[in-house]
Amino acid sequence: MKKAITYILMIIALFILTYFSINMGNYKVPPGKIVRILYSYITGTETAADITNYEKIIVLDLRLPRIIMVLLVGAGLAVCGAASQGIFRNPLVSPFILGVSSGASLGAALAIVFLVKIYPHSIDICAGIGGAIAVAAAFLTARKPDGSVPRLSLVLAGTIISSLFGSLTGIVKYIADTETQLPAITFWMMGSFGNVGWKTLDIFTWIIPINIILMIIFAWQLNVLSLGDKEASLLGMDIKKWKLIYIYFIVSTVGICVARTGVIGWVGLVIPHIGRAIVGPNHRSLLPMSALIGATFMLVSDNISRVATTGEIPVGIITAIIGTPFFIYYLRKKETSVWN
Amino acid sequence: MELSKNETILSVENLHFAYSSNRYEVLRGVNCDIKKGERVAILGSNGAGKSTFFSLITGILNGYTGSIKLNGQEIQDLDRMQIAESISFVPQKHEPLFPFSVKDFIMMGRYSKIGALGNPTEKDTEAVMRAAEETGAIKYIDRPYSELSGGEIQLAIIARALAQETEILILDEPNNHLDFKNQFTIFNLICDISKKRNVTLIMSLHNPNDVILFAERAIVFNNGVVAADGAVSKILDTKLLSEVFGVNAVCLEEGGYKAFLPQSLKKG
Repeated sequence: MKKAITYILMIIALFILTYFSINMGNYKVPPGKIVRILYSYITGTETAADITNYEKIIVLDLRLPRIIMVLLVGAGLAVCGAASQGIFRNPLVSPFILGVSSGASLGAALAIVFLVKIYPHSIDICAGIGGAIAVAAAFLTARKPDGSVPRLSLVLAGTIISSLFGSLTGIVKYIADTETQLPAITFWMMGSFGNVGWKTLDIFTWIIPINIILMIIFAWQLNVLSLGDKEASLLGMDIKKWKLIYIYFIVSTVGICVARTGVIGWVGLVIPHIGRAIVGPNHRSLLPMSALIGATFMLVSDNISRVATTGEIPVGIITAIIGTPFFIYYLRKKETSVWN
Repeated sequence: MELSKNETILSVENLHFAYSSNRYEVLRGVNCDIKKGERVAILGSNGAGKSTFFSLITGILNGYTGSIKLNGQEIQDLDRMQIAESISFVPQKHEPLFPFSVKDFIMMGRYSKIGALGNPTEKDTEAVMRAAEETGAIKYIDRPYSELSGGEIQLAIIARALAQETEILILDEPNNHLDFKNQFTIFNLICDISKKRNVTLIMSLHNPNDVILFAERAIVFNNGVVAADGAVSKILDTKLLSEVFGVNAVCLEEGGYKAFLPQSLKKG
């Protein structure tokens, strides 16, 4: 009952925030008009005379798609963070800690320099493949011969792989064209929703919410997986199958998020911890709660990035500034129980 | 299909096993038949192959030669779900990572019955509550199990195994980390359940006196083979303890009870 109320409050808060996010920005569209614009858009009727075409474009073509993308990416990264902490039995990991971002960056940089002229979607594809390779590399580096993966080793392996892929990205940047390609790589790596429009919300993007829903539906499996390989097997689980399924969900979701909006760190690591503090560790409640908190957090961060200056601060910088102090706090508080 | 008592439920024949990383054979031709409802203690010095034996009969380790048959079917041919329907396992220790509530934790024992989405039916909830009542874990069922004491966690793990409702219950040193009272509580509990529901108990034990009190039959491992196998009252004596553990012990008998006290280490 208490849990249900928490969910309802979170959903209401997210709705209100979404609404004001549409209102916010360099040009403020009055809240009353937003409802009418959205209503006419959904029902397909004409808007009243006092709403200008300019306002309609701002709400429908600029802010609405952007905010939908913000919500999807925030929820997606947070749920993937919670799921990866469950399958790796490790509260210190997130897809980015495991190297997804560095691998995706390398893939994207290569695509920007070599492939994008030939095939425009190559950034998405290369970022996804790069991310998957990096996670696999980190996992195999940390894995001991007996199959166990020590918690600290996995974090260190992620760092090592990130550093290696970072240097490789450096080489690509070095040979990139400084007028066009280098700025494209740099901005891509900082993460931003600045270029999101209806075109960004194509069929691949809708894999994100589908994956989120599937991860939530099967969240029970994460509970059992988080007991460890041996115990999960003895309870009857086919651990290889379920790990592969969840790794597919995580890599494809994060891959698409990163491909569309660049590297936006810390959400996947920090949000699940807040979620656990609110609804407890049962993944059946934790995953939906992480999705709600992640979406809210991302929306707040994106609003700051839009409104704080006349230009636009890349949102990845905002999430890092908010996320790192939180993680330091968490490490110091839970030092003994997590690291040992 | 209910098996009646005395029917063989687990049959091990000429079992050999070596970890691939070294050629040394940990098990070198183990033979034993375990019957429905038996309470069997597995004894042996450290490194005698008890843990390996457990991993093999639960299907966690593969690549053995010989045969392990669970209800007549070779264990290598069964999938995890089929094994979990017949065998539940209580590990020696469990390190809590995420602070699940005790109820959520026990519910995971229902994995093989509950379906992929993990929506508990009334039957699942009943089994969980019954296991919690029997073990006494009901007293702290809503608390996070990471906050429990070692004994309370052990009881919760046993409750999880009971919720699995299997015909074989394997316990790896179930009295590890437990105080005098909790050791007694746990042994009484599992023996009671074994008698009531005709559940086969296979437990690895270190203390021969626990074997006398709580097991009917002892299988003694030494150097990867079965050194002795039979009714506890018949096979367990000072000579066996000296041979297997290298400990000279005296046997005290009073009022129909028997107990061993270690005296000295065997020379040589």
